[in-house]
Amino acid sequence: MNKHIVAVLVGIVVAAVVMISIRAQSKPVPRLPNGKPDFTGVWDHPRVGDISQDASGRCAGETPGCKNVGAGELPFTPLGKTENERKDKFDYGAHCLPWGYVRSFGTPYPHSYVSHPDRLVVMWEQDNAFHVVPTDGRPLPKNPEPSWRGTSVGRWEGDTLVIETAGFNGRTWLDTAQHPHSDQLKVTERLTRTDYDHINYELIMEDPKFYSKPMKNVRTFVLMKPGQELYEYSCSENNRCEGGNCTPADVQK
Amino acid sequence: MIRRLFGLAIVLLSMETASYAHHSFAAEFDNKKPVKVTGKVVKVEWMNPHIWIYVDGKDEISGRTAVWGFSAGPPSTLARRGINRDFLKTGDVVKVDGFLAKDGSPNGSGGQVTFPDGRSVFTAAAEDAVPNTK
Repeated sequence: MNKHIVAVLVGIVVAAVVMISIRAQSKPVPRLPNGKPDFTGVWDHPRVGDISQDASGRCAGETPGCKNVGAGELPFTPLGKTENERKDKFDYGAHCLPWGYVRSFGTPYPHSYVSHPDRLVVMWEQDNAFHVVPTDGRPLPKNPEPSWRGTSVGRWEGDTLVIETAGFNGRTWLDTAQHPHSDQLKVTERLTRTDYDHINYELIMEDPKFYSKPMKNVRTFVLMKPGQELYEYSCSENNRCEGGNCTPADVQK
Repeated sequence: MIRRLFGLAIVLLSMETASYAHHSFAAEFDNKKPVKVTGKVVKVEWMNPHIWIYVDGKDEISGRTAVWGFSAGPPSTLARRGINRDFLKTGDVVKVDGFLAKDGSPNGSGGQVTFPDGRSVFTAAAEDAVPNTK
């Protein structure tokens, strides 16, 4: 008799644990007042040092579960090939200039989104930089001023936020592997919060000057644990071996 | 055979990652010139974009004695690994495994810090070449 009671109790406990774990897994995607998905949070992204390559495993900020499906062989135009093979490229990042839009999403540091019904704010730990994406229905300006991170607008396709960005100054690279882009680059991102902890991130890069067809990356971003925040980052604070020349520190003089 | 293939894979992996380092590891340091410096810590700079550790000591590979400067990971990357500025203090005796600066100055990428009690801390930036500490 007692054995039966114990078996029933064990069964109840197991069922409760299963129900709790199912509930934990199905934590709903938070919504904005307008009903659209809220991306607010600190997101860990895969370190993408080369947009042509796949990546998987730990994210830039050590969270497990990041992924990138790379673009494969890059379709350079003759002009793009010449630019890519230049030996005298200026390593702007090593000189603490802004990493640029595409490259900032592949850095060794996480980024954050703050969602609002009429805008999405991107904050990157790299460069401690921010970028505002209006989502109020305005069109992309026809002739935006060239800038390091471009000009963006966002629109909704169902629960997917589609961000278009153009107006780049052409001084940055697509990645740390030094793949170039021109001032004709246009970037389209599609963000879908597939569940509470994940964003499916599709990245399309079009640059007819340097590449003969669009290139695509598909990435998985993972929500960082509660309490994990972005850190301060200051590139020029102690950039001692800039360009390969190490200046002696006071204790070395 | 398997061990050789494994070794080859590690070498290829380290070459691959070294070329994509954040602060252009390949431009600043030479992953073919390892250094193993033992000495006393004279200064620690817990700063962006990379922390620097200065050790007054001797490189057991070249025999060179100097105040060596070692660039390691950024403060944020180290913090996410649970390493904060208290892990190393002026006056500590340590061995640092790393790679020599390309300009030949007594500086390097400091990948691993080992204390006399055998405790070892992985201090490299995410994509720096990983030193062989044996």
